[in-house]
Amino acid sequence: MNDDTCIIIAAYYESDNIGDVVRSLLEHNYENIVVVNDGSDDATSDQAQKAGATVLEHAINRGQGAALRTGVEYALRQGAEYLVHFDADGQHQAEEIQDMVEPVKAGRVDITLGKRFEKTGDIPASKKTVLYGAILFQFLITGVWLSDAHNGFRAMNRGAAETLEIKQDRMGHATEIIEYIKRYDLRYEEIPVTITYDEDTEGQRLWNAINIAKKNLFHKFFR
Amino acid sequence: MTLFSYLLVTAAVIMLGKTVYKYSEKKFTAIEALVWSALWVGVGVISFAPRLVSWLAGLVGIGRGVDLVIYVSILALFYLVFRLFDRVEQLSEELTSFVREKAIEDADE
Repeated sequence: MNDDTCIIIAAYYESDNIGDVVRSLLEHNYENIVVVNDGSDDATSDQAQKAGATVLEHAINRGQGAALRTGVEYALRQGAEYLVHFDADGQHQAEEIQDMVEPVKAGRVDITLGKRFEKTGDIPASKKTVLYGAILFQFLITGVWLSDAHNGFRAMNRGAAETLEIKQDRMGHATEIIEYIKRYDLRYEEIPVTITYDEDTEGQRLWNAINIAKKNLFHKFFR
Repeated sequence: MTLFSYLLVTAAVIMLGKTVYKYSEKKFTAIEALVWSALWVGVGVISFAPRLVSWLAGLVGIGRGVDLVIYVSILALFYLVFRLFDRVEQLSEELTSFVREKAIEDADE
């Protein structure tokens, strides 16, 4: 059992995937699963609840960053010691959570970030180009050079979760988190993870990446 | 006075009336009402006495009165857009907080 660990999933129109994702987490003995339905009116909440997750409902869509922070706040109030950000679309593997959480539980770091290039084979070339661009952009904005960007798989201790006051409601939160790591001098480590790609779960396309960059730039200079 | 001057004065009087009305309805604070009233009175005065603007332009080292009006207008518009942007972001943050608290409260029940 992993009673002290809470898995947080932001879900938006994920009725096809969310049930399988929650079941795979339960199979790996993660019982504290919080799914935040970010305003989707399909069967996302039903599927997540039936599969065994606690479901929180955003009355209207506020974005992935906002949904993750809602899940984190709830988990902290429930007393979670370790928190994991996990994707709703099946891109992440439940069996790899252990690798992500272990350095945090051992007290070596405050937060771990998934990196995909070592374990994930066959990343589409277009995706790779966008990713390298995102890594460079992330470095220019935050001053932190990472080997990956925005895959959404993170594990952290309670202290780090309390520090990450995500203000960017939409996808820009991923870069914002790296900014917090730098600002508050959080200890971090990148852990190799496997990201599953297929046409249905292709999360962030080029247009999406441009939007993230735009939001981050605006946030940096005007907020 | 030209036809355009009359149009400007009419517009300024209407907007001044609206400002007073909004203040009486408590939709404007005293400061907001004062700033907007000053702006509309200014527009009215300039319409009646365009030479006043040329004189002001000369004082600050700008050749033509109309240039001064354009520069000041652009500055004022930039300031307004900035304020609006800030307010929209603030409202968005408040909305997210509200949606978040409601989601957590409902889950606790």
